[in-house]
Amino acid sequence: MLNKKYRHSIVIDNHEMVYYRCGQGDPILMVHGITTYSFIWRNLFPYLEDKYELIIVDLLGCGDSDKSIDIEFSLKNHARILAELLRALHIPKVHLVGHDVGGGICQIMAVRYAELVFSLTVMNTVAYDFWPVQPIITMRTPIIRQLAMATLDLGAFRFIVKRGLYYQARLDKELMDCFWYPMKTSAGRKAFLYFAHCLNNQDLLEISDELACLEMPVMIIRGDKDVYLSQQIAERLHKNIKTSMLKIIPTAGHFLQEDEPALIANYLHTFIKR
Amino acid sequence: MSDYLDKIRRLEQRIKALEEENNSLSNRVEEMLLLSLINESFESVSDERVLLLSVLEKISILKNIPYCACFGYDTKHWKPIVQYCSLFSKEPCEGTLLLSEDLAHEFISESIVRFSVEDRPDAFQLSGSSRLFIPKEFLAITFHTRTLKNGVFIFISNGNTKDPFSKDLHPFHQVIQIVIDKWDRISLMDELHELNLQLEYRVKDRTQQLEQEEEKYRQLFNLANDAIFLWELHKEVVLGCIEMNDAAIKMTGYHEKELIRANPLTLLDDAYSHEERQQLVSYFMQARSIYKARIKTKRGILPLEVHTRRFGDGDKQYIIAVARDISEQLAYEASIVEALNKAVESEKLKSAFLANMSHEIRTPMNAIVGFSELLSEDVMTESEVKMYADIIFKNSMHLLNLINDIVDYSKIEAKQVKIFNSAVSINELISDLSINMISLLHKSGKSHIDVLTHSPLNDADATIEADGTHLRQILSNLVNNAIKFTDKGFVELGYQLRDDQIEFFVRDTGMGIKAIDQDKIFERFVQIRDKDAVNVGGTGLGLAICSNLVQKMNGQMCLDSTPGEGSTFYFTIPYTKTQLS
Repeated sequence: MLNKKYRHSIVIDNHEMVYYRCGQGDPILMVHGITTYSFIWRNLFPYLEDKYELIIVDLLGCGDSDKSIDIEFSLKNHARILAELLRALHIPKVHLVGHDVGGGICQIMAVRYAELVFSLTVMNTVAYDFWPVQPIITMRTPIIRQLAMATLDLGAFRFIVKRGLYYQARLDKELMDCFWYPMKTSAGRKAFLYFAHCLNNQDLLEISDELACLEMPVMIIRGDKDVYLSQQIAERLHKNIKTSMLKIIPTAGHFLQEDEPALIANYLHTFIKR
Repeated sequence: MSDYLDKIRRLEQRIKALEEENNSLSNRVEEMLLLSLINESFESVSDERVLLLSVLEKISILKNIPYCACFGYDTKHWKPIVQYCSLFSKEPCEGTLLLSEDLAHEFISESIVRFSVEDRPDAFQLSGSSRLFIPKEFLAITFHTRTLKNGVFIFISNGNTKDPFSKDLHPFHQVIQIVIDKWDRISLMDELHELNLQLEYRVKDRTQQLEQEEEKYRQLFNLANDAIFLWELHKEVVLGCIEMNDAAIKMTGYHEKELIRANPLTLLDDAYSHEERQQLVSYFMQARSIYKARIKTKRGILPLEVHTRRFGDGDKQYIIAVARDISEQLAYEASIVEALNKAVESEKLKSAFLANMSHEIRTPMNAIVGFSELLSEDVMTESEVKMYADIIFKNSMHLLNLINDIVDYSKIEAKQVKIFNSAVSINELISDLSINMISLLHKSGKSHIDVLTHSPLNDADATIEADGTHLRQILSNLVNNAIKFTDKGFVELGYQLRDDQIEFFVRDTGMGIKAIDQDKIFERFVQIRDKDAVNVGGTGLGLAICSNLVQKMNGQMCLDSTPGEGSTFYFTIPYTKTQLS
């Protein structure tokens, strides 16, 4: 968990959104994916806080943010809400960093709210019509079913998290507690599943052309051992986006912030300062 | 080309078959997972609402059914017990589903109600809608538990997804059965809990009663005047005294630690013979016994009456011994025996007295009657008349004295004698009495006996507060006795001061009194007579009267005598100096 002293909250569209803000320098907005929340950035935090102003969000329905499901949790709407957040905080422009579906949200922001964005970094991101592969039951059962089971069973969730790590021995009780924290309440489980329900390929497919025309610097980081997202996503993004660079980390899985935080921070620093 | 297409078609069919197989396997996995999760989550649930909410959420999530609820029939209406709607933000979802009357009726008559929402759009209303939730199929399965007569589980599927209600409702029934079982278990547990509470209350109540009882017995135990010992035995061997009351410690004077190590055998009086000790120990070891024994205490040997009772079973047994100090009782018994002996003795004396009195009265009476008859005869000289009259007078006087003594003693016995103190000059009293003595000696023909007096105080100091009449009576009596029993030597009358007491004495050189008789001499009707001694007459009441009078004057009479040498009678009265009025 991130230090509570940096914790803030703001009401956007009548929903309370929690974010952490600290450090000084160029602002970086960090957007988590599904199954995680702000805590996933905690290991990068020490490497970046003295160089940048970090804005780390709990997306609506995640972490400590509002769990009501009367608002759409689509990538598009999350992107809009984050743009609202930046405006409300009077932050004119940020470096965007997104992981997993957070990467999809950042792609939409880079395309739709380009004026707010210096650069885009996506790590193990979704894109186009590529979605997480099914780890347990193939073909028919969508990832949602597995996530659904995971919300009800700590063992199933642990299984998902463990498979997402390269250094699997690092999955201790503290890390698992962080992942499990929102699943402890009925509202948390409901919001999580609602988030999964709201995911729609269409949101990313409709920006694919504009994505190719991005002029801002783009960095694509791929954990080579990510079992949930195909390597093709990273490769295709890199191929389509002219301004992009691709970093492949052989010793990282899906949750690459847990596997190689120092390396990622170093990539980010080098990329932003370039 | 057609071969190629055919191959593709076959492959597609194969893929389809595999998918179906996979689907059925997936369904089975899901159902097993659902059952496993539901069973697992029951472990900690103790409230049926929590139970139902937890189950419905799991069914909703795993079976992808947005609306799951449980309703109960409450006299007139179906009311939601728990509702779960995965796609509504409202938490909890109370009052979300409103049933039509027709549908409500169906729940009473049908065990399963299933229809497509399209076919019966008016069957129910869902408040709070979501664009993600388009009700497609309605499924209701009724049930009952120990506490709920009519209940129904309601599931509404989503039109956005594939039909989740298969024709086979077995998995639903399975889950519902588990829930009902658990529900019943919870209600049973609640009842059990309630019963436990009642039991605990009763146990507490009973414990309190027992504690009070124990306290009562503890108080009785400790407040008892009799010593109570609880001895522990192991295989017929006394291990020691494990408990004793305060009276036991007080009675024996032993410390609690000393008693704990003690053995009833070691406490017995050393004076008992080996056989007696064995006998006492055998009494002690009996199931119940009452016996008397003397024990050694810090205060000496103590006679006890011991009541024992043996209880317990197996190797470990106990003897409770209640011991009463009977020293007072024994003393009392001894005093009763003594009193009885005295009474017997007294009875004997009385008989002797009566025999004696009849003789004593008859003798002078005979003389009086005889000589009176003689006087009535005509032929009698003047000297004869005078002699007879003298005899009659003497015998009358003797009789009068006798009667006076008896009357005096009767008064003393009847407590009618009162002491009236006034100023008495004892020097004067001694002087008067000495003159009387001389006269009496003369009359008795014992003029050769000397009369001595001893009056050491001057007249002022010799004036005391006393009952002069009785004092004179006592001294006269003693003097008369002395003269009666003295044939030679002297009779001395006097007094001397001893601290705050004045001691009068009458000393003679008469026959004396044997030591064995000295104690009896102040008792009633006692006259010491040797067979050799001359009968001196008298009632035997004189000394008893004197002794009693002295006691009434707060004094005491005693005797010092050597047979053949003489006797001295002493008595003391308080010396309270006063002045003659």
